[in-house]
Amino acid sequence: MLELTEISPTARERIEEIGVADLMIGIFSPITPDQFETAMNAVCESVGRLYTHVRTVVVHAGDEPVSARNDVRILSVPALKQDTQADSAHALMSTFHSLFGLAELLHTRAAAVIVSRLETVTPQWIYRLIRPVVELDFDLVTPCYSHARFEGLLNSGVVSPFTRALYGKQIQHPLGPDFAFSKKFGAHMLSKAGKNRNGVLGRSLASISVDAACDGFEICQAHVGERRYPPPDWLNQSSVLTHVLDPVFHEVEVHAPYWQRVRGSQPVPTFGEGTVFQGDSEALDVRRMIESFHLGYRNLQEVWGVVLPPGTLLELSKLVRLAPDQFRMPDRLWARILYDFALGYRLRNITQDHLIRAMTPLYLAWVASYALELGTADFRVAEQRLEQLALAFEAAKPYVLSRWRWPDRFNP
Amino acid sequence: MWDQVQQALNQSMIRVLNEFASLVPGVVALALAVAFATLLAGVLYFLLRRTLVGVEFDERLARWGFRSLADWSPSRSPSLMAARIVFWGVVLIGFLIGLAAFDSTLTSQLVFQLFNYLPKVIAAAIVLLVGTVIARFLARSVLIGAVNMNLQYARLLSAGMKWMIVVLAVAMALENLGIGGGIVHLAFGILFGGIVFALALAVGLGSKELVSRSLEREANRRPPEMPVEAEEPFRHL
Repeated sequence: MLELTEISPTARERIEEIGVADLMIGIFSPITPDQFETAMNAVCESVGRLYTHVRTVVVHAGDEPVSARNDVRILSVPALKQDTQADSAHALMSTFHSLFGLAELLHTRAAAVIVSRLETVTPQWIYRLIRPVVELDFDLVTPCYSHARFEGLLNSGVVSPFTRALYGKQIQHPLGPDFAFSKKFGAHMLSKAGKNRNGVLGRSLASISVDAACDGFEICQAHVGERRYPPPDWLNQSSVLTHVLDPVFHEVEVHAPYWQRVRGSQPVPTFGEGTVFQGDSEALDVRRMIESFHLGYRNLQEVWGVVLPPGTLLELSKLVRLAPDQFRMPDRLWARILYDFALGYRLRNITQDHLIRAMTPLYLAWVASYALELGTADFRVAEQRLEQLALAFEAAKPYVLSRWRWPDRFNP
Repeated sequence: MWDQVQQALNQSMIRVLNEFASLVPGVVALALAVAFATLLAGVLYFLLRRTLVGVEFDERLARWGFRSLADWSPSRSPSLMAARIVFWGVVLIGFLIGLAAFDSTLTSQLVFQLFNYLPKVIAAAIVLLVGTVIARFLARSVLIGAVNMNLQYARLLSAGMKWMIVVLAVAMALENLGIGGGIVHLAFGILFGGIVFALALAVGLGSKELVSRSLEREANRRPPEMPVEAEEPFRHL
C-alpha cells in the first residue's frame, strides 16, 4: 500500500489543488499515451451519461501529466507504478488500498478501478461499472465479462461456483479485477487493513467480494462487455493456479464462521445485457490435458492421498481408465475435490504451495471433461452447463461442512 | 618349604579376595545406579508418554508436515519413539554413572570419551533429520513441478533429488562422527557424481525432443503483431 509520504510533492500539490471530488477512477492497465487519450474520452463520455453531475478524478501511474478536460481532472501518481507492475493479486490489492487512501483524501463518494486491457474498455463499459455506485447506492459492483466458451475457465469452473456455494452470493466474477466501490466500502476495506498492519499485504483481490458478502454490503454486478484474456502458458499453469487459488483458500479459512452458516445462494442485482460470442463452436483437442491428468495420477498419488479421501481416489482411478472421447469428470467429484483441497490448505498437512500446484492435473482433467462435454454446443449451452456445475457445488456443501468441522473423522 | 608355599597361596588368595572386595562396592554402585536410572527412566517414560498423547503430539507432527517420522517410529507413533529415546537415554546415563563408580582409570576414560562424543552424535542426528526433511521437501517440489511440466520421468528426477540430499546428509553426519575418514569422502564423491551424471543423462536423453522443439519454436517465433491467441482457444484467467 502506498504511504502518503511516498507521494511526490507534485502529486500532493495536485491533490490539494483538486480538493474534493465525487468519483475517482483508477486506470491501472498497461497503457500507452494514445490509449490514455482514448480512455479519457471514454471516461468523459461515460460520466456525461450519468443523471447527476459528478466531479471526477482519473488516477493513473504514468509519469507525464496529461491535460484535463471538462470536469474530469487527472492525478498522476508515479509511486503507484511499482504496485501495478508487479504481477500478482496481492500487488494489485495493494494498489487498490492506495486508491482507497487517495479516495479518502479527496472525499470521493465512489471509486472505480480499471485493470483490464484498454482495447476493450468502452464508454458503455465504464458507465455500467460506475452507475450502480454513483446513482443506485450499491457498495460494490463486480464485473460480468463477455467471453468465448473456453475463456476465463479458472473463474467459471473454480472460483465462481466455489464462492457462490460458500458465501451464498451468485457473483460471476468474484475476483474482478475491475470493480467499483462506494466510499463506505472503501473505508471498510481500509479499516480492516488498518487493524492489522501486516495483513495489508496478506490480503488479495479475493477478499473484496468475500468481505462485501460476509460484512453485509450491497453487492451488484454489471455486464460491462468484452475482456481479453492472456493466452495460457502451459508450462506455468500451476503458478497461475497458485496465484488465483491461494488467496481464495485463504479467505475460506478467514471467513469460516460466516460461510458455515450460509445455506443455498441468492442472485445479486445484475445490470446490463451480456454479449453472446459467435463463431467459437468448434470441438477442441484436449488430449494433452488428459495426458497431464494421467501423468499426475501415476506420480502424485502420494500427495493427493494426503488431501483426498479414498472414495475420491477410487473415482479418479475410474476416470483414468476411461477412453479419451468418453472422459467425463462428474460435477459432484470436482466439487468435492475442490472442497478437499480447501480443507487441505487449512490443515497444512503439506506445504500450501505444493498442495495447490499438485491440483493442476485435476484442474486440467476438469477442463478436458468440460470441453468434451460441450463439444460444439453454443454459448447458451455453456452457461447452462456452468449453472449446473454451480448447483453441484451447492449440493456438495454439506460434505465440506462435515469435513471442515471433523477433519479427522473417517471419510470413505 | 611347605610353609612358604602355604604363605604364598594365602597371600595370593588375600590379594584376589582384596581385589574382588574392592570391586564389590563398584558393582553394587553400578547395579544401584542402573536400577535407580531405570526407575527414573520409567517415571519419565510414563510422564512423557502421557503428556505427548495429551497434546496429540502424533497428530500435530503430521499436521506440521513430519508424517515420515511416523513411518520410522515403533507402532507408527512418534510419541512412543520419543518416550523410548528418553527411557534408554536415562538408562544409559545411569549405566555410565555406575561405571564411573569403579573409580578405575579405564572406566573414567571410557565415560569421559563417551560424554565427549555425545555432542557429535547429537549433531549428526540433527544433520540427518534436517537432511531428510529437506530431501523430502525438495523431492516433492521436483515431482510436482516435473509432472506439471509434463515430464514423463518426473518420479526419477524426484528420487534423484531425494537421494542426492540424503547421501549428502549421511556423508556430513559420518564426517561429523569421524567415521570412515577418506573413504567417506571418496564414496560420497562417487555416489553424488554418479547420481548427478545419471540425472543429467536421463534429462538429456529424455528431453532431447523437448529441447529441439523449444529451439525450433524460438527460431520460428512469429512477429508480435500476429494473433498467437487464435491457435489456443483455452484461457484460464
